[in-house]
Order: sequence, then C-alpha cells, then structure tokens
Amino acid sequence: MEAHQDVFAKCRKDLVKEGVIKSAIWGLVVGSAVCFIIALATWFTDFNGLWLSIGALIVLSIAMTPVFYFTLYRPNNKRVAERLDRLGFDERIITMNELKDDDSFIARLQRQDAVNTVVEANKRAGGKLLTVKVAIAAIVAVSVIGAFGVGMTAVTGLAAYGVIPNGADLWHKTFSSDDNVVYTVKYNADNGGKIQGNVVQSVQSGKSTLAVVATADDGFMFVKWIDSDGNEYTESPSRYEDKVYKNMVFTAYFEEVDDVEDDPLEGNEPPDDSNQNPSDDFAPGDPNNSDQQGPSDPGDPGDGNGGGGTNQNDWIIDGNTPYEEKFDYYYQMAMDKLANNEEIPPELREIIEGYFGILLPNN
Amino acid sequence: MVTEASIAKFSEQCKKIFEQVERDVIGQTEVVEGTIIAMIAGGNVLLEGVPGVGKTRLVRSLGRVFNLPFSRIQFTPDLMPADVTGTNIIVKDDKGNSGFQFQQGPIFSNIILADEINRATPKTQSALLEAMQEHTVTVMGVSRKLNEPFFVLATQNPIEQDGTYPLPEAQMDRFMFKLIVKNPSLNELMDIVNMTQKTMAEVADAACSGKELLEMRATANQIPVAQDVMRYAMTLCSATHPDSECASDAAKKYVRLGASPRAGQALISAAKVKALLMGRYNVSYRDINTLAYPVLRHRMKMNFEAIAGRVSPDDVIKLIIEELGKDYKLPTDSMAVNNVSDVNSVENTNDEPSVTAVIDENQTVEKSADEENKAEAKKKRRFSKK
Repeated sequence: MEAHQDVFAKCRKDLVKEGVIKSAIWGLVVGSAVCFIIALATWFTDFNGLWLSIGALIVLSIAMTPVFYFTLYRPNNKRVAERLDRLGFDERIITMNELKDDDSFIARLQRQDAVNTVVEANKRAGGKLLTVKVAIAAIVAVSVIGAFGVGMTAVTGLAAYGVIPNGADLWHKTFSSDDNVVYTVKYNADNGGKIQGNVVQSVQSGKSTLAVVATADDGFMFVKWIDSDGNEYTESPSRYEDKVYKNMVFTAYFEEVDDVEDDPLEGNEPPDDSNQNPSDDFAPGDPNNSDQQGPSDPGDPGDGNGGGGTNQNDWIIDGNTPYEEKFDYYYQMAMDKLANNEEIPPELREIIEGYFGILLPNN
Repeated sequence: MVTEASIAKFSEQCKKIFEQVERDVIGQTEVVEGTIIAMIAGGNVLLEGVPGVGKTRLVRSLGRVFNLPFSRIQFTPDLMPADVTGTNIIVKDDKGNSGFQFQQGPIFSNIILADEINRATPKTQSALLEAMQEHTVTVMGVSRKLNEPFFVLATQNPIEQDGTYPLPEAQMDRFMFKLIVKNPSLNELMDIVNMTQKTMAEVADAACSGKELLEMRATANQIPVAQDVMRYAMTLCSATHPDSECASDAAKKYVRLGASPRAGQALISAAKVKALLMGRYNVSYRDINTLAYPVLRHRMKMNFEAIAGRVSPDDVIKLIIEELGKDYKLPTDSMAVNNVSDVNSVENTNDEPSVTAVIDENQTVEKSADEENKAEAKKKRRFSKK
C-alpha cells in the first residue's frame, strides 16, 4: 500500500505547485489591473503616481496570491481525486475517497481496485501522472493586463517628469475646441479690502491671467484667497492663474487687526533709490502732471493714519501722493504694458518691485 | 452481503450467460448486453425492431439460459385482459357443487415474452401494468404474487403502425430499457443463415438459475456510487424536463414531457450492473452516459418542433449529455460512449477499456472482422477473475 501513498503524495504535491502558480498568476492579474487604474488616474490628474502604482502592483500581487490559493486552488482530497479521475480512472478515486471510512468488503475491494489502477498508470506514465496545467485564459489575462499595467505606469512616470504631456493637457489639446474658447476669471474682495488689477478677465483656453493683488483696507490684513471650489490659497495676496481651462471665481478675504507693526518704511521718504536711476517718466512726481497717466488729484497726505503712518496704505512716496494712488498708477501702467504684449521697462519693474515688494509676472 | 466468492461467481456466471446466448443469437451484442443488464438489475425490456431481426429468438434464448419458466403472449387486437392475467372459472367439485376457481394466465411465469405488444388494445396492455411494477396480479379483488425473478420482455414493430395501439406513458415508464434491434451486418447475416440452415431451434444451455440471478442482483446492488456520480445521474434525468431547475437547452427546445423518477432509479440500478460487468467496483460517468440512451429514450415526449424537425429522443439525449459534460468538466471520452479510454496513454489493465456501443436508432452497427476479433478479446478480458 505504500506505493500508492507515494503516488498520491506526489500528485498532491504537483497540484499544490499548480495551485500556487495559478494563484500567483491571478494575483498578478489583480495587481496589474489596480496598477493600471491608479496609473491612469494619476496621469489624468497630473499627480506623480509612478511609485504608487508600482507599489500597488507589488503589494496586491503578493497579497492576492494566498487569497486565491486558499479560496480556489488549494488541493483537498476531493480535488486531487477529481483531477486523477480525469485521467480516465472512471471515478475510481473519488469513490475511493468517499469510502475511505467504510470497512465493508466491497469498499475494500473498490479501494484495492483504485489503488492498483493508479499505481499501474503511474508506472506506465514514468512517475509523471499529473502535469501542471495552467489555463490559456489565465496566461492571456496576465499578459494583456500586465502589459497594460506596466505600460500605463511607464506613461504616468514619464508624464510626471515632464517627458510627455499628462492626460489632462492631452485631453484638452485633443478634444477641446481650443483657441476659440474664452473663459472668464473673476476676482472679488470680501469686506476689508479691494482688488488691484483687472477684476474680471477674459482668457483664452490654456492661457494665463494677469496678476492681481488683494489690498487690505485700513485696520485689515489679507488672510487668504478662496476659489469657487472652496480651495484656499494663503501664500500671497497677489494671484494669477496659469493655463485657464474653465471659468473661475476667486475671493480675497481679510481680517481685522488691532495692532499694526511699525513699518520699516515709516515716514514719507521713499526707499533709497539712488542706484536705480529711474527715468523721468517713472519718477515720483506730481500726479497733476498731465503727461503722466493716473489719478490727477493728489490724495490727502494727512488722511487716516497720515504720513509716516503705520499702515502700508498710507505710505507716501513724494510727500504729497498717497501710496495707494501711486501704486495704482504704476501698477496700471505695468498691466497695460502686459495687456498690449509690451515689455515692462526695467525701471518700472524696479520701482514696483523695490517700492512695494511685489513681483510682477514674467513677460 | 458481498463477498469475494459472490464477486467471482458474478463474473463467472456472466461469462457463461453471454457464451450461451451467443450460441442462439448472432451479433446484436449491444442488445444482448442491454437485455442481460436489465434482467440482472430486475427491470423489464422493450425490444423494438423490424420483423425478423431476432427479438423473439433472443427472449426465448434468455429463457433457456436463465432456466426460468417462460411464457409467450402473442398480443393481438382481440386479446382480452383475462387472457393475460387469468380469470375465475366455474368448476364442480366432487360433490357436484359449483364454485369459482382461479385459472392462472400466462403471466404467471418468470419470463414473459409480450410479442407485438402494441397490437393489443390499451385495455389489454394495461393488464401488464401491475405485474410489471409490483409483480402482482389482482383479479376480482384478490392479489396474487408472481414468481421471482419476474421479467416482461416485450417486442414491437416500428413500422406498420396501422392497427396498432401505442403504449401508454404509464406502461412505457415501466420498461427499464428500450432497446433498438437493428438489422444484422452482412457477416452476421451469413452466420445466421448458416446456423439456421442446420437447426432453427435454440440450443443455448442453462447457465444460471433464478436464485442465482437474484444473488447476482443483490451483489450488483452493493456496488457503491459516488455522490458526484449520483448527482450527475439525477441531473441528467431532471435535465430532460423543460421546466425543471436543471432543464437543458435541448429539453426546453424539443421536449414536452421529461423522464419520471423511475428513470433515475433505473439508471443507477443498471449502472451498477454495468460497472460490475466491466470489472469495476464503482459506477462512473461513462456508465451513466452509456445507459442514458436505453433508459431515457422511451420516457421523453417530444414536442411538435422535434417531430417536425425529425429530432429523435436519442439526439436530445446526446445534446443533454454534451451540455452536462461541459458543466461537470467531464473528459470528452466520458461523454463519447463509443470511444476507448486511453487518456494520457494510460492503459487501465483492471478495467475493460471499451465502452458498450450506444443503441442509437440513427446509427448502423456494423462490425468488421477486426472489430469482432477485438470484441472477442474484450469479452475474454471482461470476465477474467479478479
């Protein structure tokens, strides 16, 4: 009886091997499918999902292999019997399996018959009664889905590093009716401030807006921008949108402040610009000068917190002109240059950057 | 209780039975085997064939081989039920008093040849119903038990439908097998003529008694059936019903009424005998598939679409077996009942590799000399002592 036990043990071992291989293949299929989905999603959302999809492939493939093995492919006595009977043993083995606890004469006779048949068959087969078989469908599935998963992961990796465009850009370039679409971007200010710049801008698809600045009123300070989707931006009171693909609305929020720190630029004196040599066109001067654009009425130098006041809105450049009006003048000049696709003169750029610490968008 | 002796005796007696029957019946191997399987399993057989193919001779030969009392009832349109079962007659005793005495009819025998059973009226045909199922006869309220073993081997002619009465469903269901007896091949015909030129009488000797037949039946009944095989057999029977949960597509399309539960009982009983006949101690899917045809072909009612499309019950059975074979993932040789088992080039020395050919009215069974030699060799191996 030992010979047949060796045969059955070997058959079981072969089926375990087959079960592990099949489980690994289907685990790889699941891992590759999830990898593909993650890679596709991150490619479209311009998120660097390369390592996430690779991680999903590895983790899920390893995790799903035992799941498949223990639920589907683990060989028990019945599966071994069914597999052997498929070799042409006329259900001897499954019957033997069912009668294993039966000690009647017919059951023993049946067992002996089954054992003899299997041993003889194993001898004729040269000890290789069972061969590992994997369904073609499994091989095709792992090949196809694996190729998709790895390929998409490579694509999302290349897009993340800028080698190829991401899905969103590609989509818009391919399917949107492109240059003729014009979107509207609006900038609003909540209580406590105002928007400097074009508050309503019409922008072609894929183009950028002009910069605007959220300027706080007296007694207020800028807190954040919030767009129409509820996203918050707190980095800077200035804002511009790069590559506009939809209508957007941004609202600047301000909060009341009790104390205002002493301004390092306290006083009416402008910063030392002796090295800057601004041209006459851009020298701080009489706003009543008709050659100059901008407001003609001088502001009240003593209004509010007055000259040398603690609020940046009251900074006075030439002793007569309130900060706010001069800022508007120079800033509007710069915006007009940009709108006309003209280069901002370096002097103007220096004034604005130097006086107000505001970065203009690059030409 | 199965013993080694009973198993050995079963093989030996089967060998003798086949040898003796072959002395009277040339060829018709499938019909002979089917009839013997049915008799061992305790069932009745309906033989259908054109005149002159040896139906009656086979039954008479079996009567001699089993050494059992044999009665022949020639069914004619004027045959009455009392002519079959017997009746009470008035007799006078010694004192001159009259009284009734039951006169047994020809049915009180062990083997009944109901020749041309479809020529009698339904009233007379139904006289066999109780006897075939319950092995009793009730006349004027008195039930009388028939001798065991009891078999009804009926014959009918598929042509000449004029003046015949198709058997009712209830009676058809009581036949375990319906076997189609075909025309002999040329070689067989030559052998038949050569034999009958010498003598027309049956020459088979007794090979088995009634008691031994009952012992063989008891032995075969002990053959185990795996649960999966049992489920497969019952699914096969249920699949013939167009409105059952296991209904097959073929049944839904072609069958009006499927097989009764008796079909399942007959299938398992016959499969056990077949397995033992093949030298195996368990029933296999192959046994079920082989016996499905004789068990089911007469129990299914075809619908108009099948009749119009000339789809026979055997065609439907074949479709059902193919459909179930895919669900059960059976190897194709389990479904093909005419193939030799040689999967993976593994020769099974303990089992008879060949499978009994299917009795299919659409097939012509012609054996070449080589096939006959192979069949002869198979028979010798079949009955080799374990």
